[in-house]
Amino acid sequence: MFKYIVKRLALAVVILLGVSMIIYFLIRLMPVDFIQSKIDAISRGGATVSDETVKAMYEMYGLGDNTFSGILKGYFNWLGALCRFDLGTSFVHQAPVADIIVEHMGISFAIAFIATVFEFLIAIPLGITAATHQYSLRDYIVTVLVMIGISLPSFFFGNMLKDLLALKLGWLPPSGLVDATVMQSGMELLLDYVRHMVIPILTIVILSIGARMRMTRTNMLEVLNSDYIRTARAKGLKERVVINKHAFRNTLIPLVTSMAGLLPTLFSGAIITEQVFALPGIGNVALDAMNRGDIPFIMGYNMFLALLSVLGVLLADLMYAVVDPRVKLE
Amino acid sequence: MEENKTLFAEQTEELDLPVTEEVETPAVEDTEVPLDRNVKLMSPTRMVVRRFFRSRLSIIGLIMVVGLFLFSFVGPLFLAESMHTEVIDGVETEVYTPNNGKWGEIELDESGKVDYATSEYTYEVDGVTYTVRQTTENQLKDNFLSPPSKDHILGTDNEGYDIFVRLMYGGRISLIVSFIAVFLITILGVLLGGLAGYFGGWVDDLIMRISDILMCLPGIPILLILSTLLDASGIDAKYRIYLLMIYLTLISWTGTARLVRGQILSLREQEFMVAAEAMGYSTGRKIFKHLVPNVMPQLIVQMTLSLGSMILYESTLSYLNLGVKAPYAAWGTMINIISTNQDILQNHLYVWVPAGVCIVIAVLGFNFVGDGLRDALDPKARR
Amino acid sequence: MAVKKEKTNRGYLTGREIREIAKANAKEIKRLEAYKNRKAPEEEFLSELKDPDNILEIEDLHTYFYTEQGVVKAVNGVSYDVPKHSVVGVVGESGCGKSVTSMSVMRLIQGPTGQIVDGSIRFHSKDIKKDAKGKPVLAEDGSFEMEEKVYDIAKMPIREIHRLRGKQIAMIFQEPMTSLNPVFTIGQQLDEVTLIHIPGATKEQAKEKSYEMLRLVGIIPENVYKAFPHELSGGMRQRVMIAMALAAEPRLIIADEPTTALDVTIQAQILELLQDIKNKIDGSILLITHDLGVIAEMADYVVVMYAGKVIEKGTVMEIFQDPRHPYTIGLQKSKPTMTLDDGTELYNIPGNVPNPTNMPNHCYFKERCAQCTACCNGEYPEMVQVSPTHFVACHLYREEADHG
Repeated sequence: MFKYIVKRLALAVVILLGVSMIIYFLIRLMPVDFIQSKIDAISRGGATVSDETVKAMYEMYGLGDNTFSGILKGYFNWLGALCRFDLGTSFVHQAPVADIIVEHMGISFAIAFIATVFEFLIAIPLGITAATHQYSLRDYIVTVLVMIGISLPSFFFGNMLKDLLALKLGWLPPSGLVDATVMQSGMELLLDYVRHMVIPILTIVILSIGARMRMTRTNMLEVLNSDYIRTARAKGLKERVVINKHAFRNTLIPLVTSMAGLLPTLFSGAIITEQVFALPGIGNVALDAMNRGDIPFIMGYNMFLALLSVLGVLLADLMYAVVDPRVKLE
Repeated sequence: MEENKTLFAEQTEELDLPVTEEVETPAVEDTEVPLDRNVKLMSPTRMVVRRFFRSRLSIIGLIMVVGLFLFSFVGPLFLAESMHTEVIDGVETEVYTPNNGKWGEIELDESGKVDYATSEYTYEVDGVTYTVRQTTENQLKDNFLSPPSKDHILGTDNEGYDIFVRLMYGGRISLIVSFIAVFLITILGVLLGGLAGYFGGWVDDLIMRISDILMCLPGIPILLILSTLLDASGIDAKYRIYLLMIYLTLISWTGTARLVRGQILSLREQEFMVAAEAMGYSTGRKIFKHLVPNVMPQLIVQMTLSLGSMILYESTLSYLNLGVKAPYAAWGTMINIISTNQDILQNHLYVWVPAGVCIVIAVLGFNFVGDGLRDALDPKARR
Repeated sequence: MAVKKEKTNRGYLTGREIREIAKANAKEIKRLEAYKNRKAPEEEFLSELKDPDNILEIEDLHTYFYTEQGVVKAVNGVSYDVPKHSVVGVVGESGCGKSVTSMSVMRLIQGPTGQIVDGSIRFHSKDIKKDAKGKPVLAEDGSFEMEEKVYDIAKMPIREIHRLRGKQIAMIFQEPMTSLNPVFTIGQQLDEVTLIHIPGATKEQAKEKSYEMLRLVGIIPENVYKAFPHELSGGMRQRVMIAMALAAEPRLIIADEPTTALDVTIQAQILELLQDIKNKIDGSILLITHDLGVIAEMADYVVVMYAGKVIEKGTVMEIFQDPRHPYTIGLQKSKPTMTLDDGTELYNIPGNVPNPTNMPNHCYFKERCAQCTACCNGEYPEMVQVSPTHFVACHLYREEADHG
């Protein structure tokens, strides 16, 4: 068990190193004058990028020195800073990248978390009924819903919902997180947050529910065809108990494991949805940073995402061992 | 080798002999087919075809996909010669346009909209009432944001492009781009997965570690960086999406590679591979004769399903204004405008909804077909 | 070239035939599923036994599988009885329908393809009497009042079948490795049987019962009660399966090839265990196997099946000492024995087991039979009684019966 975890951690470090290399060299491929022009654009936009910051960045990433040793030196400089959790200073925000990530992570997490809860609550029962009533009308409807959910592009569907629910019907606010025109506090403010988050969450739930439903259905079908379900029936258990206890407990294994894989989704922000609804989440901030060439933020954000994916995979492995008694970590 | 073959031939012939002849039986006609072989089976191809078409969804999917292909690739051909009405000297006249219609892929409708404003003045002079009618003719320069009409089936967008025509050309780009990407992904995936599975050892380790790394790379953010890179290098707007898709290929071959590798590993363990080895078949022959047909069905399914996801990827990039850029358009690009222009989002649905519908139809179509193929090709499938 | 193509396609169905099959199947399946899922009052599936000494009577059972390639008549008019306190062995080659018959008794045939089409399965149940609310009725001395009923399992709606499964009829499966739920402990799975079948049983009582059952099958309960199935060997798992089957003290145990998947030494142990249990419990065993040795050792009565039909049945002595059907004779000749060392080759029945789709109306064994006569081309032979307990379906014995 201990040995296994050490091995997995070592692999995680290797993966992170690989990812950092790719990200670094992608950035290094950018011509320096292009970076300069982006910095100028940011300066014109109002934010003053101090020469100091720029100089610090040039130093940190070793930009400008295109010899082989220069590139290597730059990479290790940056890597060293990364290990000290120093992600550099954002141009646009004039603040440490790590601080900005932490600042905007909360709202992204809130949306993603609520959406995930709804997703599981709706998808699992629907997936199970589809499987237990295979080939029936119910199954058919669920399958079609699954497909539509998987096939809808988020930017299109999000805008449709926004247009319909917010602009046409006027039930909910179309974008942003709070109504800036009124002073609110306490309960009122919370309610306003909720009102603003309804459509984004609805968008995410509808789009992600399909894949989860399909997963549940496929697993359930596989479990229902297994010998131990036949044994459970032969014992004299009622069909309801067979499905809700024996089959469900087995279907749960991949579902719980997949939950660990959601780690990146929970914290990294839904770029498109946040953009559509102009939410100040981390995804939207990152998109803005990329459009404006905020290099320190781009690199920091990407490394943050990679770290989350690596942790997600690791967690999934551990979860698997927790839920499935057959799996022993070795 | 020759010996083996003849031996087999003899054996099968022997098996074909009616069993009743071996034991001496009084006058029983043995013209009938033996009972263990009297069953008519379904040929494997027919079984797959039948399973595919049994599902109504696969048929709908197929119709969607074929329809979109015809729309995008054959549709523009019909634009080549068209009749349309134009107002000449205040009279509607049929005009024949020979070349590529009036509205091509990147042509603006600059004919303008003629607007007649009529006003009436009444005044009295010496007890007589005079009425003066005044008509003003306003010629607008660009014919932008015009609602669906005879001239523009789906209207024009804010720049003056014909939406219907642009949908066709946008479809061309979206479909071609995703086909290229899927094709490349498959080639790369099969190659690398095949190498990893076949050689094992350090080759396998290396390829799998690389795929681990690529799997942890954040998808859209990395593409955003790449797109910025393309901006920096000043690539022609027409080709940037192709380059982006090649990048996309480089990071998304891992799924296919894992599939192929897994298949090869499991097949290596199976009896018929051992048998093939015992027969002395060469390496290449083993691969092509036994492994490829076993991987093929899954590969086809995966390719179909990834066509859908590639279209989603491409349109998302285009929506973020990172894919196909003006004057060219893909479906995603056509929706991009609403991210900055709430008036269009709210009041000019015809500008962006058709493009979205096209994307949904394409992705849904490929998913339906892929799912149908998966069921049809699944050897475990019953019923 | 054209000729060659025709030849390779000869065994395949045409598109029209496939569509016809699919249409017919869909109609039949719909009807049978509706019948299976219907709600019905108890009177509708109560029945009477022909012989009150029997516990199970299977009569003219037809279980079909509606596949894309046609209707597979896996069980095609099977009739046999299981007397009280006896072991009935069903023997036959794989694919002859012996397992499907037992699955039909348990109503475990996988729908919608598999369906019981016709026939009756009458079972004599003796269960705790329950009132209208489903509460057990207590007798004056405080014990549960029992009531006896005869159910026709084939006519029971599927929602009622849990009355019999586990409590009245228990089953031991062929695949011990996969028949236990991998995510529950042995204890949890064993306790469950007691908890669902004994009204008002507490967890402690269930555990006590499980311990008792484990001891009965020769396992030290402390060692496995908290273990997960994957921690046990195949033989141990089969013992657990047997313990589970016995936990509710069923009146009929169906053992479907209980030893096939096990090592030879373990097989012997399991058989010994079954033998032992047979003497201990107050019930009958329906033993399904393709191993004649097992039958000889365990069974009181033997049923020989071939291609979905019973071709011979009788007491174990009659079948082994006086086999009548050429197939039964062939089966026994093809059994290896130690005494046969004079260099003669082991006998094998020529040909293959027929595929039970599109069967003609004549003896299915005809073309593999060494004693085939002209009349074998006629109708399928009827069951002929050769002794009070011995029946055989073969034209060879028709005259014998006619003459008395």
